[in-house]
Amino acid sequence: MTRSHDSVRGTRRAATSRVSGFVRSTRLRTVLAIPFIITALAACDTVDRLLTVNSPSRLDEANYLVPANALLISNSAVADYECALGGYIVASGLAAGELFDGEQTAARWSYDRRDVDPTQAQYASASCVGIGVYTPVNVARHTNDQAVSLLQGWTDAQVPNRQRLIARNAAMAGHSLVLLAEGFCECTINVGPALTPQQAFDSAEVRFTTALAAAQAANEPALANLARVGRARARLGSGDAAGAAEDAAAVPQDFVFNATHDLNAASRNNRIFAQNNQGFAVTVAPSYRNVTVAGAPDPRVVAVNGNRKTPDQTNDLWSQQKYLSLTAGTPIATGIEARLILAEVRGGSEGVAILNTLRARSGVALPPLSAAEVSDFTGSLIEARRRELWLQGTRWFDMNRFSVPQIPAAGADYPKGGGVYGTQRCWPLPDVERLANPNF
Amino acid sequence: MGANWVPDWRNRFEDNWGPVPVGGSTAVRDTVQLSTRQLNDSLNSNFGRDIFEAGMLSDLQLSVSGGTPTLRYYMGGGYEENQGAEVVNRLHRTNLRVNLSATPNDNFDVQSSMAYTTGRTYLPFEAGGGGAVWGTLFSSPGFLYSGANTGNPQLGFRSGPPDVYYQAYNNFQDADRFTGSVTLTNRATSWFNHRLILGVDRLAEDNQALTPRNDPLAARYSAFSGSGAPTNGSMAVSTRDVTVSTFDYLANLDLALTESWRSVSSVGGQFFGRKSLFRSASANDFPAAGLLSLAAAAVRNVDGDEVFENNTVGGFIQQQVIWNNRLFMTAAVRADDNSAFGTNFDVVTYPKFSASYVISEEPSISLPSFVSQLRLRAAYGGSGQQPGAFDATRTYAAQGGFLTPANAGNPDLGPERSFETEVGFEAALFEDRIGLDFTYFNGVTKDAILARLAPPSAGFPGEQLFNAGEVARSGLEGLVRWQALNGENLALDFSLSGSVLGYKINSLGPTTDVVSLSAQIQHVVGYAPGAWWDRRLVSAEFDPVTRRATNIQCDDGNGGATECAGAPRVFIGNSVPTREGSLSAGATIFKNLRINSFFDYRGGYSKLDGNRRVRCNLFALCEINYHPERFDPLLVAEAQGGTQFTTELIQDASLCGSASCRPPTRCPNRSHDRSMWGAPPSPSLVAIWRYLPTSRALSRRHHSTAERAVVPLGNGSRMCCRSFASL
Repeated sequence: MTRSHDSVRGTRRAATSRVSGFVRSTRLRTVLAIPFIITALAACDTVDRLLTVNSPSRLDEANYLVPANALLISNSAVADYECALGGYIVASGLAAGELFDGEQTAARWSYDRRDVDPTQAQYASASCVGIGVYTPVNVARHTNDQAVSLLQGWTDAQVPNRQRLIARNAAMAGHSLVLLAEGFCECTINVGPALTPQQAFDSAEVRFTTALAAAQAANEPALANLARVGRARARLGSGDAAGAAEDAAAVPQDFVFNATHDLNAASRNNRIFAQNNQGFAVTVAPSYRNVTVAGAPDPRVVAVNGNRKTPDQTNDLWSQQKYLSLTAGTPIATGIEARLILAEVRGGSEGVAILNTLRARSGVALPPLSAAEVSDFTGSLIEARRRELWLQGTRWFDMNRFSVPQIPAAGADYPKGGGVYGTQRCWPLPDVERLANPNF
Repeated sequence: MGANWVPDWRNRFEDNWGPVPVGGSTAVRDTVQLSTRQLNDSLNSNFGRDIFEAGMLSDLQLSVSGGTPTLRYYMGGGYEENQGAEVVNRLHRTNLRVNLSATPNDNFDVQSSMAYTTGRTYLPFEAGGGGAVWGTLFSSPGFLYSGANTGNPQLGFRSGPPDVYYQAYNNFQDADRFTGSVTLTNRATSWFNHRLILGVDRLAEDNQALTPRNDPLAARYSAFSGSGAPTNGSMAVSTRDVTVSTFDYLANLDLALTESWRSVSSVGGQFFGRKSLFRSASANDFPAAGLLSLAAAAVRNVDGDEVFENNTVGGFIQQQVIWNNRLFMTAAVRADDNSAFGTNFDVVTYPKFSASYVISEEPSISLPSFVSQLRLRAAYGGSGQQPGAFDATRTYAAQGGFLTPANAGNPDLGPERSFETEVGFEAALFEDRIGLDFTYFNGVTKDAILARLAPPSAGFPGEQLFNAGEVARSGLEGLVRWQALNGENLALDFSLSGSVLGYKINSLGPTTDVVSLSAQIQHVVGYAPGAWWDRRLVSAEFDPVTRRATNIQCDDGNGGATECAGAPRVFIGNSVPTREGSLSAGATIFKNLRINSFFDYRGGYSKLDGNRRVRCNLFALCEINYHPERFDPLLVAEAQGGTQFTTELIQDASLCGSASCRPPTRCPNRSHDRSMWGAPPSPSLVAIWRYLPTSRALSRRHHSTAERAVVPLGNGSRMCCRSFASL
């Protein structure tokens, strides 16, 4: 179909005339103004207001990490370590044979079976409440290091008791690194390269030294001893026996520095009580049941028989009596551990004397070591550490450094199915770090 | 009316193997099998019920409509009851809808729509907790002889018989939802019209997991012990309150330029606000049976109290030119800003161009007589996805009076932008008895938002989102409709649809070619996002003395073999379907009775068989665990390796069946999809801003709750069937 040029031109003229008429119309101008008003409104402050949102349940970093929050920052970092320590004690207790898993699901069997694989999310990514280790300990290391760095950058005028806070957070950062060094075959911090346990112990020692200096400057003897015990442990792990003994000797036997717990949140609970006595998720391992010295019950290791099965329907439920509530404190550093470190380094008659002193202390009142035990001092020391430091997160590394025979033995069938007991004595660096860290 | 059931459930679970005492001895054991039939016989004789039963579906809907030319109304309501194949899985739901439409004059009309739904859904204790599926799938002969539990209370089921779960736990969700909208349309002149839509969508959820104190039950079943279990009782409650507010304005200026040419100019603006409030609390240790409240418990925790707000403001300008009502050409640009964008990003703009030509209306072109209508179309456009509320910001969350790292954040995170070109055609043949619709599309997503695991040594847990370089996609979608019969009392119609999709990561940014999402899921340049990558077993030997696999070798990534400990992860398969299709057939009888059937297909992807992993690799319930000499050493290596290997566990998941009787639906949930643009000014326009699956949606799809809700029984099968007929 075709049309003449005149017809087309006429149509165009008519259309042009119509458009001109529209534009001249007042009504048109009024109508056209509406979208422009809308556009103008959208372009002005109204848009900013519409895009302003609140998030009262979270604080962003810029608003949180300010001097006015110094005490909260410090306390929160300590709380991160306290929760991480609880998860580590349970996880390492399973691996070291202090505890047996009692759950019917398999998530933690690899702890129990000593065959944790780098791909597993449980030990790599789970929270401290969920008995993860690598992530919670790294979070604690990070927040305490961050607190120290911030506090060191602020002034005494901005932050009351600044040195005291530095001492406490530096010590917690150090203890976090000790857990990484003791528990893992290798680790990383700050998205850096792989660190050997030796390197991690060295990093821990730097932080304990910072803590000790700040504690002394603040005249805080408890924090100074917290740092001394930690540094002694780090030095012992890195082979500096003399340095370890020097620190340990300066700590009084009755010194105790506890992680605090409360009922305000699950993360604040005593994890061992929550997992064993309350949740039945773990049970006391057979070698910690009915522990005696010369036929008499050993008051350092007390567990009671629940006369029932754990939820896995395989293990018998035994409940530890070291921590008697969800709010019971968990030792981070004690004079007893310092004595044991000192005994280990000194050895000989001095070492025996230290062990006997511990056995004779009030509330324990055990007889001195027998002649046979004295002749096997190393064995006696390992046994003393096993009992004195039960469920304090030290046994896993003791199993490794002393090459303690594993119970149940490697190769034995895992009673809940799915494999045999492994030979693991430290956890591998998780894939979650290896795959996300550009240094690998 | 209808029914839910598990087809052939007595035979579809594999027998489980396990050791049992011989002659009352605890030392001498024999390995035996336990079948679902045996389990069911025991359950039936003890509790008078089968493991799975057919659940009834009933749905009653009533509506009334009417009015005058200036005022029309519609009111409807209904009541629905569904019973699942597992007896505690059920729901009841009531809904009410009221629509009003008023047209006081030719230039103005108002439409309002209100809908309210309320109901309760009871959930079984599955998904890791237990219940009929858990207890049956992971049953064991050993549970017939469970140590301290004398009298065989477990009947062989893991943890306990399903009925014990039903006694112990009560989990439900109450959900109330109100949606309301008002649309004001003004046709001020013959060449100008505009409309405003105001909407609100409010969802209130109350989720409760109740475990009343039940000392007798806890004493009889070990798996039900513990403070949080029936021993002392526990409860967890959470509420979720989500309000979505929308404002959508659109104005069209429709001018006839000539007799042949018409111009439609459009401008619009939208506001989309979403506010979510989550609260949760838990408690355990009730002092006595019968108490079941937060206040009554000895231990109480406030587990969460979160508020999320996310607002988007957008606007667009569009120009359309129409020639003889058969050629439509459109150009547009829109801009969006979002409250959650990273600090280094601001307004994002997207272009759109499209053309549509109704060639069957073209007098100069002669088409065969059976072609009723033929439309050719092509389009190019952009869309995007904004980050979530806290994705860009490093935040700390409160726990028990302290703050702890919550989200690693990424301050450089910005929106991802998708650009796509598509061409296609729509045809109606034989007086519209046959319809064809084909589209080919090709596009890229730039700055794709992908997830990666944050390295724990950085001190923040969880995932971190980042903008990857580029993800490419292309595909073909097709639809064929056939109305085979359209009689007075019987009508038959068929519909065949299919699609082929391909995704490929072109770049992950300047620093890396590999990003890990989990132990087996990675983003790798050259492959689809979120694909399966793992160490692949290639050889193993069997040691008859130790009865274990030895000399286990893995793929070295170069066609050879190497020690598995240092082996690289290699590509196993895609994790999302690359081919999908469906065939539906419907019959309408006497104009009122409609019967539908569907046949679905999904292929080109793989899934991890988690059930087999748990049965054979963790719980040791398979024949391979007790008679490894009967199997390929490779399979033995995998079964004995716990969670180390997934070579045989990640398998082709092509699914072909008629199990789902509801047609697949897509649920766009983002503000910038087509709905954000408002309705096209002309119904004949081609909409280019259709829902485009984004890279993040792909990477997270396998974690979706919706997928987990379908209990897989192995690749290629689904748990439940549903059939229904409606009047």
